Amino acid sequence: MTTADGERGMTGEPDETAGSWAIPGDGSAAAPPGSASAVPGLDAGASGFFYAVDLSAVDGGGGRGGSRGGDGGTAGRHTPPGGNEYAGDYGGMPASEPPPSGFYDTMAAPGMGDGGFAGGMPAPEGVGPGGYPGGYAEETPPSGFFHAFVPAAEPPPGSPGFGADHGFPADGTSSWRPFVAGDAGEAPEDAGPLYAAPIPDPYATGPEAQPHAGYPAPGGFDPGALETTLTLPQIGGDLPDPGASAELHPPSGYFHAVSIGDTDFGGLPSGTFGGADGFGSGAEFGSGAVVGEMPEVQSAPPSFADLEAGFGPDLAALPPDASAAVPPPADPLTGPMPAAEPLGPSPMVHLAPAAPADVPAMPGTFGAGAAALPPAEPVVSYTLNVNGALQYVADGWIGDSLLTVLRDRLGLSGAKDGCGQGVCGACTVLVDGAPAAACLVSAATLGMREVTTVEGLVGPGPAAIRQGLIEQGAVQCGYCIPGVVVSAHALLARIPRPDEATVRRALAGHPCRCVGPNRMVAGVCAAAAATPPDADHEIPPDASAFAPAGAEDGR
Amino acid sequence: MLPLSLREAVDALAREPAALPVAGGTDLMPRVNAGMLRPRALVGLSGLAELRAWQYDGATAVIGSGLTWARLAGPDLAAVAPALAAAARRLGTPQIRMMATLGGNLASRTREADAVPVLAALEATVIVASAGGMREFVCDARPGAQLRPGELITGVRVPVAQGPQEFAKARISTGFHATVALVADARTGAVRCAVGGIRPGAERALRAEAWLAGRIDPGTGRLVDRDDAARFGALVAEGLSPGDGSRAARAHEARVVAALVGRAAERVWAP
Repeated sequence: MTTADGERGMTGEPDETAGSWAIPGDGSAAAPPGSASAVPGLDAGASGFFYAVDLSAVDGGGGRGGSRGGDGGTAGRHTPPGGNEYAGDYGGMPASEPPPSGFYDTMAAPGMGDGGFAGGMPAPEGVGPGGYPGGYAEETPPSGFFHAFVPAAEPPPGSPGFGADHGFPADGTSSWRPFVAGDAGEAPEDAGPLYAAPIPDPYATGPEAQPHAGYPAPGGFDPGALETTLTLPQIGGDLPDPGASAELHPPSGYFHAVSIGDTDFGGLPSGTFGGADGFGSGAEFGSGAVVGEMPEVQSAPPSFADLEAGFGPDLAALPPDASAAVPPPADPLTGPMPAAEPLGPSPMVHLAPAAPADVPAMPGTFGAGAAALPPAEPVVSYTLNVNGALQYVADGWIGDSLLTVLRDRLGLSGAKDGCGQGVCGACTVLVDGAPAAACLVSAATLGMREVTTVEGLVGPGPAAIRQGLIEQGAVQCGYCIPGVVVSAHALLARIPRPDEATVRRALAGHPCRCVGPNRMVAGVCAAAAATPPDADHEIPPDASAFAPAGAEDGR
Repeated sequence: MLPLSLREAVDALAREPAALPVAGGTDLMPRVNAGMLRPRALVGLSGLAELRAWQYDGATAVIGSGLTWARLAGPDLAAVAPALAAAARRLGTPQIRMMATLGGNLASRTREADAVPVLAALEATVIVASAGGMREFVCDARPGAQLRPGELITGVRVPVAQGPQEFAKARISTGFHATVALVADARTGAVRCAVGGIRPGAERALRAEAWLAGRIDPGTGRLVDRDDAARFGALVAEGLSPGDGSRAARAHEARVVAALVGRAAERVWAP
């Protein structure tokens, strides 16, 4: 198991270079890792995500071998979110049967923050009777990819980075669907039919469930292969499901969190545990930190009911034994959380011993992982200016792209991880008001340049763009649309009434293989026509010395 | 680290030879994302304001290496170096142009460096700084290879445009483009042409340049014969050094280059 950054082999090692990497002048130097409040805006909930747990070596989240893991990869991107399509996409699995839990990771959670499928993944409707929570439930732990995003603190109302205006459902419903279907500037209040089905509790039953056919086999996944190509730390622990095939689960190599052995629930935030019913109110969840609903709580530990306020219905839903196997480590962004009651021993304890030995924990987070560490990768702590708020990133690998940090550290999953080479445009964010490919921006060297993600685009202008794209039929799979909105917004902020050629040039970096560029261009033109020229000048044309006016269209 | 001055930056590079300077990151990060490169240390250049300026210096202009391609396409620099601005408009996507810088393009080891043929045709010089001081060298085919450890490209010195300049680019294969830069000096009648993207770095076509200079009417500055543009293109393609690709690929490249050069020459000097 490894932490979010552990796959890059850099965490857990006392980093001798970190001190010299403090960014001068941005205040981050004064903020020791984990001191959340040292940086203004840090408590905005962004940093409060826990990457809980991978329990096996295989991540369903595919991607390209994991160098940029966490994303759903191709499968996640293009898979219809409806339930039964999963099976069809995955090689003849009967549609009536519940797919193995790893599929949910792969598809329903195309990114770490994409709706934050904490613990149990959303159950597609129409899964066969008896599939959940029986078979599925036990198979979830080995699926290897849980994102239990638990915000460390409630986002302050009106926090620009987080909150209901963020383009994410605020009701706790798991949905990675981007804002495109949402109303003007508003997050979709529910995920619609996509993930409306209740999420079965994956930990409701013990590990004696029958193995599922789609499951990654321990022999099928070779952590060493990842090691050679990607220098990923090996994933410790046995895979609990022998005899399954790993083809369907290309290891993404991106494992969030977790040395099971040395984590405990001391990292739990003092959030609302909804009591025995296991439901949080949902309204408290930050945008990226939407924790999946888990209605079928079978055994909520009474200790959780004592915890106050807010988060982690998934954790509340966990029986003590299972949740011990899904420890949310204290996020390095926020530091250790107030302690909660320790949980009982895990039945998955056989996973625990190998994990700390092979995979380092995050520095300062897990002490026990420091014994056997791979060579240190340079890490640095820095502060980013994202959506108007300062976000402290502690001990981030210096090779992390802005996209990685936004998605995996800050929970802003609006920018999508497409190609990693700046070609697809799905990761487009605004840097100093001009569109940039976040996957090509070195986050550690960004300094205090203003980053605006699609979550930060609120107001009538972006709403009109979204509406225009929808009405013109530009949205099919929707993966590229957040980037399109960002680019279109940057264009319209400078040129409120562009002609079609200008729009086409501005959107040149957004290839769309679903519907092609024409509807996209038409949608932006319609948005430009529908928006009063002065309605949307959130980005002054002279906002940046880096981005001259007209930069977005190449002139 | 994020130095705030050039001195800090070069000192950091001197202290840490393994450190990679990062400006836009568009050349570095694909390799990092793909796991091909694991930087030991990065020196961010976004805080160096001196790299993001340009100024006249006599008959030349010194263009900071930290200027993004979006900035290079701006009207002011388009007046100074039209070919560079034309290249900037054709480079990458808007998102790339927003971040990618001139210096990073020069330092990249890929053969897709659109600045190199332009600067070679301009006979520009590259200004580099190190802890030991500044130096300047002529931008040849592979300026990145001339960098010594610890050196940082701070800018290029280009002659202020004295005549028409042209840049053309066409795809030759997946991920590869042929680029052509034409620079004319209206006062001396000199013509300079450089081809990039085909071979590593850029190649000047000296023989073809001399031939074309003789075909331009000094009175009008136009070609005496309209077909000379196409002949010039063929001559440039003929003068390309032999590549290591397959014969078919080389033939294709030569054809693309000939067409590109011919079109560019026609745009500049058509009678």
